[in-house]
Amino acid sequence: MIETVLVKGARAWRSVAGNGTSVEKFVKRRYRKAIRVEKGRLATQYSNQDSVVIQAKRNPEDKRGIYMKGGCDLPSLFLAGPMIKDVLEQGTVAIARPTVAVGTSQTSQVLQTLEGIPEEHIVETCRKLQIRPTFFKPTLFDETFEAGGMERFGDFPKSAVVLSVGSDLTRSLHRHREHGFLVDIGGWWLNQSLDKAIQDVETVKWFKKTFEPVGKMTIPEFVSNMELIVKHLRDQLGSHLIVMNTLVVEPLSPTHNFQLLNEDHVTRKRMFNIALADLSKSQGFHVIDVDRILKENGVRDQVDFAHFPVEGKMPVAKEAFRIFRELEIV
Amino acid sequence: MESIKLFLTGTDRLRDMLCSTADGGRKLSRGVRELVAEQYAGKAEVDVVFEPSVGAASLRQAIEDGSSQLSESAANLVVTSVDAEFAAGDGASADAYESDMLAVIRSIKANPGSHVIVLLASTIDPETIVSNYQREESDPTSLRVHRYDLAAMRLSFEEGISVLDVDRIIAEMGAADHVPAFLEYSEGACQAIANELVRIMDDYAFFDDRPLLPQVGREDA
Repeated sequence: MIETVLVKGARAWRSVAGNGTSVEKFVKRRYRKAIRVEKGRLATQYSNQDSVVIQAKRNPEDKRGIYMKGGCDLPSLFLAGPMIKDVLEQGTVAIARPTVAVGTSQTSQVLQTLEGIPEEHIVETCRKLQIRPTFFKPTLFDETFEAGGMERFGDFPKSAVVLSVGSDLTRSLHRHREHGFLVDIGGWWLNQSLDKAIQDVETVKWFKKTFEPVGKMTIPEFVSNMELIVKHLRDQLGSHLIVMNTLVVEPLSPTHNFQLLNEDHVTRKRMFNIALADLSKSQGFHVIDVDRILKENGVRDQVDFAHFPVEGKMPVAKEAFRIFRELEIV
Repeated sequence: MESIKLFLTGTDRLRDMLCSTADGGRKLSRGVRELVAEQYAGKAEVDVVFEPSVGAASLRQAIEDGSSQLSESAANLVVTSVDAEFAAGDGASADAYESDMLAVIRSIKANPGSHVIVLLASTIDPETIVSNYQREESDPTSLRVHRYDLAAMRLSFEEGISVLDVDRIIAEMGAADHVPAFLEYSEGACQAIANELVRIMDDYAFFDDRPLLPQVGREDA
């Protein structure tokens, strides 16, 4: 109800004042920071758009953290918060994702942060594409993290890191012609009003001159990148790694004959899921089998592989919760 | 009236998915034959032949040694299913399946006008939930189905055959309600699969005056 009123109010405001005004940005920042509090018998849950913190009455100093980096499928895991609240007898658990993760989650981008890109190489790119310099910092490999908007709980260890294959599956990167670093232009488009982005023709021209497309990731690149990420997370942090796979079928697709189609496009999701299972076998990490969960639940109403209907989110969260319990994180 | 010879080869599960009880299935009151009779009355009728087989390797062998009726059947449409691989003990690897099916498909396509449709399988195994594959001695059933389904899709690219995406159909309906056991589908799911086969046949123009859509594949393209 409140969401509906807010959406209608925002539309009315934009029709008068235009998109992306400073007033709108201010309201958005305040809304994102708003913290909802739900008290339970054992623990209290604090949540905002990017984080959930569950604090038990007993021994709150014992902290465990679940850090997520990936695409639009990851926030389903926030629904594990109430499940944790009901069983958490002691300590504090945080589930969090970076405030803006779109366009920074492909494994090639994550790995390039370990190489240490000189600040002077990225200044112009950050300014022109409105990318934060922290996008090029190896934050995934930091030992601790803060729950965004709830810094008062302090730092949390990365007991588990949750990734999803979605970014490697779908995103197309561009490489800086001179300095070699990678960016995901999709992030720039998605993080602002499209009207504004399209008007900025000069930036588009600059981008075309400065960057070259590298296309989508291949399966061997994905496997190699994941092996390196697993090694770093284990060696540096001792974290558990959990990776979400993806729905492989195309709901309501009438296609039955692929002889005139692009093979990679049609089979890519299934190939990534198989590669992920093989990686789990060789590397020993856990997989949240989103493909199985969504198929069991029914996917007729699903618009795409990464945006689940509400009925699909809860079973995904339940499976994540089961794995968190198995790993004794909660 | 057009008479279409539909040759099914696989396990009893294939017959359950496509045939009425009158034609040897165990679940459907209206199989593909009855559906075509209803929807295309006076235009086409389907004659169903079923031959048991347990996987692509045995089917290839049967075709090569002449023990399969397939060679003499002059079938318009040959339908098989990846789930038959699970009837052959440990089953073949996906690569071996692809290689055997390639030989089977080329043998069938050697008869002008013969078309091939392979049913994919649902990856859902209600008894097996895997979250860490390192604990599994061998590929779990679900992963094996993924590999077979992918191999069948590759054959569609290369040989121009059609795949009937059972995995998608079951997923749309919700496998929790329609897969009581691994590779066992509910009556409703089997009906949806039979309906889908009729739709695909219609796409190929089996029921009207257009020339049949050829299964060319890449090598001949």
